[in-house]
Parts: sequence; C-alpha cells; structure tokens
Amino acid sequence: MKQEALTQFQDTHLTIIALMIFAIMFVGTIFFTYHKSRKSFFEKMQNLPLDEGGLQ
Amino acid sequence: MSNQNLLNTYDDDIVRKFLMACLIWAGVAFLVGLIAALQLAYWPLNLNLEWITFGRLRPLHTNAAIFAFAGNAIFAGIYHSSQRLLKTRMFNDTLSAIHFWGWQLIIVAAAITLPLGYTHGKEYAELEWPIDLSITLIWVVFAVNFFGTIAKRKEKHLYVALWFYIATIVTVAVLHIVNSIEIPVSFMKSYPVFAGIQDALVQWWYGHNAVAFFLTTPFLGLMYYYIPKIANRPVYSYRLSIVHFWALVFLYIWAGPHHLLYTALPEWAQTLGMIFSVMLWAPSWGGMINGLLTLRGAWHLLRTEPTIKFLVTAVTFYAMSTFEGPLLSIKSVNALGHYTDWIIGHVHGGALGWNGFLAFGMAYYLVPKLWKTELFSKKLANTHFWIGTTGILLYYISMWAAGITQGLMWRNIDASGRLLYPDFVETVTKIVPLYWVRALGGLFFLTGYLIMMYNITKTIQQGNAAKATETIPTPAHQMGSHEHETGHRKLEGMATVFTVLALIAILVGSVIEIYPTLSLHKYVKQENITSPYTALELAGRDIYIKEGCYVCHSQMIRPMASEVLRYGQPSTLEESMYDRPFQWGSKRTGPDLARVGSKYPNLWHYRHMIDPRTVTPNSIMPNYPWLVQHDTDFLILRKKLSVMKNLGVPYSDAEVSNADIDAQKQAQTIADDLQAQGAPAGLAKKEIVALIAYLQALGQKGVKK
Ligand code: HEC
Repeated sequence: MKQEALTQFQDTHLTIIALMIFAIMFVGTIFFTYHKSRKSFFEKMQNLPLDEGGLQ
Repeated sequence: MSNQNLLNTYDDDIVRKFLMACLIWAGVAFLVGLIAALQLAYWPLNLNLEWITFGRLRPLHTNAAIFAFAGNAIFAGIYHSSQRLLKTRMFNDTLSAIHFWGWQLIIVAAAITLPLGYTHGKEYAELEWPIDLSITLIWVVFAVNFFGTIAKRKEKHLYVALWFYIATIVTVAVLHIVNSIEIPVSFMKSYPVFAGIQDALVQWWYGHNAVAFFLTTPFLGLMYYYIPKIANRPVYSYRLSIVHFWALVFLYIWAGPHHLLYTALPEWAQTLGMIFSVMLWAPSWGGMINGLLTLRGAWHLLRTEPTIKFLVTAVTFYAMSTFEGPLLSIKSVNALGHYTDWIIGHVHGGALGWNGFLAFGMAYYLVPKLWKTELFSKKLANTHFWIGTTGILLYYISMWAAGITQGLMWRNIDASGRLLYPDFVETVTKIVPLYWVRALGGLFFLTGYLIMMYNITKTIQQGNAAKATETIPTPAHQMGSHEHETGHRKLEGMATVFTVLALIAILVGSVIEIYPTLSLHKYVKQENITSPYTALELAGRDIYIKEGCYVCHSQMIRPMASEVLRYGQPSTLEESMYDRPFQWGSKRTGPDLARVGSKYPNLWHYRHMIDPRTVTPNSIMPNYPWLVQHDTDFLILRKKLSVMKNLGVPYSDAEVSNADIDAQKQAQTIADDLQAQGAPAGLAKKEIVALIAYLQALGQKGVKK
C-alpha cells in the first residue's frame, strides 16, 4: 500500500521551484545581454575568432 | 628554436596529435559499429566468440564513438581554438602531453577490458574502477592545463566558445565522479553505492548530460569558433549566443529523467524531466539559427567550400536531433518510441550528423592549416560529403521505420483484448530487413570516412608541419583596452566567477532532482519488502552484466495495458532496491525480463542460452556456448556479499561467510534438475547454472507473486 502511494508521490512544488529559478535566471540573462550599453562591446567580442593578429 | 621563441608560438603539435588520434579512433568506432549492426541483421556474425558478442561489442562501439572519436575531436578543437582565442600558448606542454597520452591509454584500456567483459553494466559508464580513476586524473590534468591557459591569457575577454569549454570541463568532472562512486570487490569488479531507482536516476542524469556536456556543449563551442572563422564573418548574434549558453546549460541538466518515463521513477521527477526537455528545444534552436545565419550573405560558400558544407550540415542535423529529442520526451510519444530503434536512429542523427560532420569539417579545415598546405582534393571531400550524408539518411530512416513499426506491433491489442503479436520474435523478424538497410547506411558512412582518410593522408604528405608554427602576436597591443566595464563585461574578465556561476547552474538542477530521490529510497528500504538475491543469483547477475544482456533486454515493465499483457504487473521501485547496478535497460531488442523468473523450466533456459533458435525459431539473440564451459567463481562470493552487506543489503553474517557453500548447494539443485530433464551431468559449477538461477529469480523477490 505504502509503496503504491510512494510511486504516486507528487512533489509538484519542486517542479515549480525549478521553473521559477529558471525564469529568474532567464530574465536576468536577457536583461544583461540586451542592455544598450553593451552594443559596442559585443561588436568587439564577436570579432575575436577572426583576429589572429594578422597571422593566418 | 630557442626557448623564448617556443613560448611565443602556439603549440600546434598537440593539436595535430589529438586530431590524428581522433581520425584513427573514428575508424575503429565506425567499423565496430558496422559489425554490431551486421550482428543484429545476421546473428551468426556473433561468431560464437565471447569477446565480440553483441553484448560486449556494443559498449565498445559507444565508448569508442563518444570518448575516443568525439573526445579527441573536442580536445583537438579546444587546444587549437583556445590558444588563438586567448592569444597564448597552452599553459604547460608537459600537461598537454600527459593529457594526450593518458587519454589514449584509457582508450586502449577500454578496448581491451570491454571485450573481456569487465564492465559496470551502466551505459556509457561501463569502464571499471581503475579506468574510472584514470579518467578522473587525466580530466584534472586537462582542467589544470586549460584553466592555467586562461589564467595566463593575453586577451582579456573570453569569447563565448570558451564558455562552452569551461561548462564542459566542469560538468563532465561532476558527472563522472558522482556516477562512478563505487566500492571495489576485486581488481576489475566493483558495485555502485547507489542501488535501483537511485542508481537509475544518477545514471541517466549522467547519461543524458554526457550527451549534453560531452557531445553538445563542446561541439557548440567549436561551432561558435570554426563557423565564423572559416566563413570569415562574425557570428550572427553575439547576444543570442550568450542567452543560448545560459539557457542551454541551465536546462540540460534537468532533462535526464526523460530516459525514465513510465518507469518506477516518482511521477514528479518524470514531469520535471519532460517539462525541461521540451523547454530545451528553444535554446537549442536559438543556437542552431545563430550558427546557420552566420553564413548570411555568404551562402555561396556552401557550394564552393566542402568544409562549410560539413559544418552547416552538422548544424542542420543538430537542429533535427534537438527537435526530435524534446518530441521523444513527451510522454505519449515516448510511450511508443522508448525501447525501440527510433531512439537508436535519434542518437545517430546526432552522433553521425552533428558530431561526425562537425569533426570532419574541422579536420578538413585544420589539416591543411596545421601542415601548411592546401587540401589535396576538394572533389574527394565533396564525394565524402555526399556518401556520408546518404549513409546517415539511410541509417536514420531505416531506424525510424523499424522503431515505429515495432513499437506499434508491441502495443497492438485486438478487439477481444489480446495482444495481436504475442510472440516477441515476430516483431523482430519484421524489422530485420531494416537492420540490413541500417548496416548499408553504416557502410556508406564508413566508405566516406575512408575517402577522407585518403584525402587527408595525401594532404599531409604534400604538407610540412615543421614550417607551420604560428608566432603569437606581441601581447602589448592585444591586451584589451581599459574602457570602463560593467555587468557582463566584468563577468567575462572574471573567469573564476564565471566558472562558479556555471557550476551553480548545473548543481541547482542536479541537487533538486537527485536529493529527494535519495531520501525516498531510504524510506522504501525500511519496508524491507523484497528479499535480496541469493549468493548464486548474485553470481548469475554479474554474468548477466558481464555479457551485456542489458543492451538488448530491459527489466522495467511500464504501466500500460499492452505491457502488462505481455510481461506482467508493472515493475515496482522495491523490486530493484538491491540492484547494483540497476538493469532497467534502455532498448528492447529482446523482450523485457523483469518477470521472466519461473516463466520457463530450467532446461528451456539452458537450451536457449546455448542456441536460442532451438526454442525460439528466428531469434536473433547470440549463442552463449561458453557459459557451459566457464566455471563460476564461487570463492569471490563472500567478498561480494560482504560488500553488498556493507552497502546496506540485509544479508546475515552467516549468509556472507557461507556464501560460496550456499551457492554451490543451490547450483547443485539446479544442475540436478537440468540433468533429470536430459541435460548433461556436471553443470553445477558452470556459469550457465548461476545465470539460470538469476533469470529464475527475476520478478520473484517482491510482494507481487
Ligand atoms: C542481440 C540482442 C540480445 C542479446 C545481447 C541478448 N538477448 Fe536475450 N533475447 C533476444 C531476443 C531477440 C529474444 C527473443 C527471441 C528469443 O526468445 O530468443 C531474446 C529472448 C531472451 C529470453 C526469453 C524471454 C522470454 O520472455 O521469452 C531470455 C531469458 C533471454 N533472452 C536472456 C538473455 C540473456 C541472459 C542474455 C545475456 C547473456 C541475453 N538474453 C542477451 C536478444 C538478445
């Protein structure tokens, strides 16, 4: 009986906590990333792989 | 070259080494895969040889593909791109060398021990404890070397590819260590500390994240470096790559339980796995789009540059796999696809298409560069591309068809409520033709590989590695300007902080998911409702693991009408509570065995194991004639039971100290029965009897009799 009940064990609050942590993290990342002041920095960053100091 | 000059050059020698190792091991992985595919199409190819029987060959194939081929590809790419992105030589050449040779040694050890049957019986974590330890050690060497390089970098900012490498290094370490916590019984045998459901959850947390952090994040890092590099234009959106990174790393770690849907895993963990898997679709496609759109305005390269062709197709396969993955995590789809060849097709879309083609594209780019020459033949590279793509499509489509066909046959119930195909083997013979098509696909892929090897050998012959050393630009004008920095910019300068954040991202998911399950299991254990295996059954179980029966058989009956009709009552948590390792399985090439105990007489199993076709015509299961020749190791049983007892299995002291004697007694009873039914005398000390004891115990230990 008890083990039957255990397999049905629903810890929904864990799922909700998980989703909330993700939501907060996601919004935070978006906020940081799309902040206007970072535009020029990203332009520099995205060119890093192309730059080998003139050496190919 | 003087020492000072050497320090001012990139270490490309180590890149060449890893690249060569990757290409050579690739051949082994593909060839062994092809043989395994042929064994399923045509069982006599198991050759009655224990060392190459399917159950032992398949782990060799997966380990070679993941750790030897993909592993060396990752290292080659990381060593090459990191030095350039950080504008410095690797931290320490000796560490690089130890990493390289240590890793190859591990692979050789795997290639020797797996065919000999030394295995944990946990997928993609088969290697026994001494090798596990070596992996940890070498990984630490790699980590020190990598982080050392970051520390002495001459470029202040960390490009996003490096983030993916960092996440890889940190997470793989955590996964490998946690999943390999085991107690040695002898030099090459150990039992995991986790049992049953805990072991299942930890294993698939590991298994899924091996896909995530060994086959995905490092390759995404490579994608973010090599596609812009080769197309000579920046990535489509750097912002998107940041969101991609954090969302992916955070979400992936939760998705493991989608391997355990409809099992005895608690419902909430299944739901969690499903939700996060479906959400994973978004960052995966975000990354994919970012990779593809990098080619905006340069699509002509797709026609002219074979390298780009491989990379872009790789990303396309990534898109396919990451669409299919979330789809398969939806419970109703999973109900059909799980345990079938659909999953095998899914995996190979990723492995051959994404990992394979990305590695090939990288090799076609790197070899000419590292040997200071041009690619010997673009035409041959194009031929490779088309043959390889055809191979993947043949593989994918045949496995799709096989999986869905078999899945539908398994669940087909007629109007009177009976299974339409009660004979499992019927559902197997139906798809054997598709196994041939799959093998043909594999042959195509292998042929393409051979063409590439010819092309690359020719390229190397015309090249000159010695001249190819690149000097590192003087640090002064590279060291980033001192503009005022806020937010993410600071973060990027701070590799340590970043690493810690990434670690937190993966630990949050791991802890929330695994921790409750650990305590849940303890709770169940107190009920003490199943009895542990007898010593002989345990010996048999270890033979089951050694022979890799789990690669074809599950031991987990799902709560669905068709499964209950076919196999019996759904499996419960308690039935596997002493199983170290758990053997729930992931593929049903043969039927589920969770309740096979007492289904057949001993003699049936005896005949079936020696030649399955004597009792089940058309079976594709290999013969196991050596089980009648090898003796069971009775003496080690005391040690085995004592380790189990220490791990919490309720054996009495007497049971431990008499383990061998008890086992011999039980073996004699079974051997007598076999003999009475017409089997030869003197089987009691043979492995076959221990295995039969185990098979007959399956499903017989719990409350549901
Ligand atoms: C290549 C995949 C493969 C491997 C490896 C394999 N089997 Fe099988 N097994 C099958 C197939 C297919 C069937 C169904 C046809 C038959 O009965 O032989 C089967 C059937 C069985 C059955 C009968 C189940 C039933 O309910 O009728 C048992 C028992 C069994 N296998 C045990 C084993 C054991 C033990 C091992 C390892 C030593 C093993 N198998 C390895 C494919 C495999």
